[in-house]
Amino acid sequence: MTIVNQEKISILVDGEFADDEIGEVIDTLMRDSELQRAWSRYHLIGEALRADSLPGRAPAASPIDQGRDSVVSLADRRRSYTPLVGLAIAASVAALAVTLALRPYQQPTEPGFQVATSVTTQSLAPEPIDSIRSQSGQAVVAVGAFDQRLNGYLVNFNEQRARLGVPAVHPYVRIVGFEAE
Amino acid sequence: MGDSNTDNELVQRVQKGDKSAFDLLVLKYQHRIVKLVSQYVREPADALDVTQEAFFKAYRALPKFRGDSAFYTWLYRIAINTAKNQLVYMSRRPLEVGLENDNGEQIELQEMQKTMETPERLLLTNEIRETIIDSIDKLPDDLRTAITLREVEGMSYVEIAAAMDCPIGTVRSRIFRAREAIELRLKPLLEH
Repeated sequence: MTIVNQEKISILVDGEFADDEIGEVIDTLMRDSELQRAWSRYHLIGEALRADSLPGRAPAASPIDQGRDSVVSLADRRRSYTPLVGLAIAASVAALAVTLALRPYQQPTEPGFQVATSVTTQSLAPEPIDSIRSQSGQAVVAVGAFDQRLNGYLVNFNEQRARLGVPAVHPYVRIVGFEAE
Repeated sequence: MGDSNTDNELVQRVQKGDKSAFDLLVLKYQHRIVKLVSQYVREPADALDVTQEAFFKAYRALPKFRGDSAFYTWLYRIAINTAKNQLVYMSRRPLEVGLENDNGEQIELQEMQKTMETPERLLLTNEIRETIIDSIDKLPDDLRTAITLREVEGMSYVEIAAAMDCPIGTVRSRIFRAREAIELRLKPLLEH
């Protein structure tokens, strides 16, 4: 059994050989009982890791958090960020509708967009995501400021859209905001 | 490329009469099947007997396997059915796996038992599990991340290379070195 062959078995376990290479590696594997033991153990290791990643104990989370923060941030961000932003937007729009309905109509004094100086719906939005931290204590994402800015854009847009004759929130507002971040 | 292609190659070899190719399938899936069967048959010794019987049934039925589903899916169904049948059977009388077969089948079953690891090795004991997890914890970050992304997240080498921002060759090497390090600590437990 050579190191090269052992590495080939590792690749075979992962199913990463091209179709025309598999036969040759299997031939090698079938001739060497020590390689067959490695084949079995490599699968055992995978089983143990997957079993241990089930609820109750998650050692796999720590290497991910510690070893590739940037990668996990991206993946986690897509999972955890979207619904929270959605909630923030929904809360902002709902509160804005109530605010606009209750206050008397005022003609804008100056044309063009104005930057909203305060976001009245901020208290209705979920906790900023930058409070979420990984198990290792490191920040996974830091998008609280982005949330506020996005809400500001949306509030500002809604305040101006009636005057500008725009029918509704542009769907790309959120996408542009997300990608820019 | 893919894990199922390896299975297909092994299955085809068995169907052409190469019995030792089936040994590799047994070595690959025995731990998973034992774990599966153990959900139905709680007694470890019985779970191992049922596992052996499931592999035996699979071996006998393999000539008829057309590859409509993945091999493991097919094996999974056999194992589940065997476990359920065994539950019914055990409620009536003691387990006697294979004793009702004719002589030829009995020899094949005995051969299969040789292929499979011994019960204490086959069962994923706490000691084995803890050793593996402890080994993982002690790996350097790059190796631990690579093996975790592969085994837990199920990512391909290409995906891992993108995630870790390194060449695919490095991914291969890291995963192998991780396995090698874990195996080194596992060996004494499995070879005594």
